[in-house]
Amino acid sequence: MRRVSAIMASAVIVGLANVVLVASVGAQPVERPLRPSPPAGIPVIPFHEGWYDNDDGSVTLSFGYHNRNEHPVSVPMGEQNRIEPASLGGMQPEIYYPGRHHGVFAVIIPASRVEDTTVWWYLNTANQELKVPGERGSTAYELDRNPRPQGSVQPLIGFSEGGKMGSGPEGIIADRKLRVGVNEPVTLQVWTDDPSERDRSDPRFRKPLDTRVSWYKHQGPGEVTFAAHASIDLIDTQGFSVLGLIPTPQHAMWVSEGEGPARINATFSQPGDYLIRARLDNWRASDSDGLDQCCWSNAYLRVQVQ
Amino acid sequence: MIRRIWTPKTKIGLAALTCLAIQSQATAQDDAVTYSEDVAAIINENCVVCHREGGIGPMQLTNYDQVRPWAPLIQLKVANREMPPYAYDHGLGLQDLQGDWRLAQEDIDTVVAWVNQGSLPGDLDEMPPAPELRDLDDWNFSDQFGQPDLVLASNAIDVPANGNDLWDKHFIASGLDENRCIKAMQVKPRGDAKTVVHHANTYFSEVDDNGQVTRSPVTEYAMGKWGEIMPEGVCRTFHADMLIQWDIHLYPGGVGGAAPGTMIENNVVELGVWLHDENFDSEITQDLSTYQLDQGNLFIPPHGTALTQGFHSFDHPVRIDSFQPHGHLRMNAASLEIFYPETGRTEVISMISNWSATWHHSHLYEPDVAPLLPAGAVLVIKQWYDNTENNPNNPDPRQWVGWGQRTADEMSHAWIAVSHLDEETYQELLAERSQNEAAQTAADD
Repeated sequence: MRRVSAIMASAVIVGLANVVLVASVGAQPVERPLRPSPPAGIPVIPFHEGWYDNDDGSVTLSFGYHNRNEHPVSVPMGEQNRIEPASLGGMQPEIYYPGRHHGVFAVIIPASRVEDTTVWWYLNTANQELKVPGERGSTAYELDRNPRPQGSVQPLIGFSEGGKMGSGPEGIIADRKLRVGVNEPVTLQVWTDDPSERDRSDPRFRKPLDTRVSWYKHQGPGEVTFAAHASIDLIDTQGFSVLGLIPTPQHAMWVSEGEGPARINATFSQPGDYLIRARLDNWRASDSDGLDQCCWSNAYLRVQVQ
Repeated sequence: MIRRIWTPKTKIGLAALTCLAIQSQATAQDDAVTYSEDVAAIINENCVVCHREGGIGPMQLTNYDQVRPWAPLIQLKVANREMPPYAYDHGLGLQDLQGDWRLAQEDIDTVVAWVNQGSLPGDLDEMPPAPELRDLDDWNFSDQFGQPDLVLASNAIDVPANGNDLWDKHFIASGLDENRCIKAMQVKPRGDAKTVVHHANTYFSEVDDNGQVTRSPVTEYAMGKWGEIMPEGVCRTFHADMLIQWDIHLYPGGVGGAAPGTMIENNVVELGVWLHDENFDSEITQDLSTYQLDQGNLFIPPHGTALTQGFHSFDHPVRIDSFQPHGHLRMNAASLEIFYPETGRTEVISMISNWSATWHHSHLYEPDVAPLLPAGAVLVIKQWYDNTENNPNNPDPRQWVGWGQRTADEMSHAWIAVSHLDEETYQELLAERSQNEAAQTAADD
């Protein structure tokens, strides 16, 4: 008799495993005809990732989204892209890149309003308004900033060495604006530090892990073009996607051993106020896998284009 | 489940009869269903393993005084087949399973009738023998195979009362210096760890100089799982000289455990492995893999439902040895079917229409009925999700739900143990099965 190796069998399984179908029915109308999804015209889904209790009694709500289209979708803030209560809004993105993006922005509910506040994010795309609530609610959605089992924590990110740092989805927002002309390159910089403490006897952690910074337009009226800065190469992140779900960032760079600067050049096509998001991940750590809700941090840079 | 040895006289359909018929006092007395004569044995053999002092059941059911207050609830849970907790549809697909906890219909009818008649004690001095129960921390297969040949314990970890789910992925040594064929495996959280361990998978692992890990499954555990028994004549290899990676998903505060909302310290999970003798070998290899149902496109709308479906086939004959669907709090049903392209026929193998994340059973098909598939036959796996208020496990029906490893997110895959066959072996197994069926038919005649 011929023995069929498990390896061969596994290869066959992988090769044949890609034919699948998903259908869903819900109160929020989502058309899911029995044919492959079209490349465009599908509403972007807003996600509430969870909530963090803060030391001062406030609560941080983390939000993300999933754009199932093949191209970015733009929705300016306003009636079609709003947070209620409006007083807590303002940080939601105006551009939605393809794929699942988690922890893109945060809403902080002040301590005095935690008990009676539910935040709703309304997002109207493809002529459908989808919404999602966030609140200090079910413990199934509770998040924390404690070290993970293999030592990962939310990395620190700021705008200069020795300057103020932030972490987590709310991260840090620049106090001052960079000023630049239309189509005039400007260098954007963040400074990073990953304080995660890992067991060096673990064969995965003999060397300190590199972290990754990826750059996104977050808000603003025109197109933003990113290009590598002379001091740091962009990396090819193909193959790092989880289930094809987490998109590979187009503009990303490693930070060697998790500490130091990340820089990129950006040009802006139209005048106006822009917000650029730099996302710092240590997701190569075993306890920072995709959608485990740890460990990344956002920094938001303000740019005024004249 | 251990099927009971002492069989009481049963009274099928008695509940209906008592509602309709006018019987003489003497007849009613003779037909009365009592705890001592009819029900105690059923509860002893099917419930007490969990519902005893220190067990995971929320109440003890070891004697009449303990059982009587819960009789209406027992009736409801038993009649609805919610207890014992082994969700698997009757009358559809393969019914011959190892480790099948389901009650026989006659036992269900007996319990229902007993409660309808007032939960009578009977003669409590004439009770069936007390069940011989394993120690709570003993291994599920100790009666069959003795103690495991290999016990691999995870590192201990504390799980806080609140916060995000945790995934502890660390390495331990395998403890073996030569490859061996596995007879059975069980993963067992120690003590209170049962309440915080969502899953605990193990992988044969290698780590390269850059810290990159390659791994293949040893076995899988999710809350409530019994274990795996390899079929006769099959070798699933336990690889020597490889690291074993634990991949443990922990849920702060516990899920319905004894102490939700409290820090649970020193959680340890053990992998028990029963091995064949050193000289055991087989040309039939088995592996356990996950089969995906397009998890990346799983989106469940608020107050909505969803269905995922996946298709898999092989370029050689196989035998499907077990089926274990996996999902989280919104998943409520799963099925396995086989589509035969040559005939266009689809066969239902397993249907679980009352699935719950708290009991991840691996349905182990009896070897003489386990599906034998020719090359090209297609596994069709379906899983259903309910994000409405009607789902009692749903933490928040207002949320959009997509794929994620957290308990609050969803997954859509199945763990399936497959024996890989060549054509000659496949034909031999088919012929053997035909002979057995013919012999059985002749014996029945």
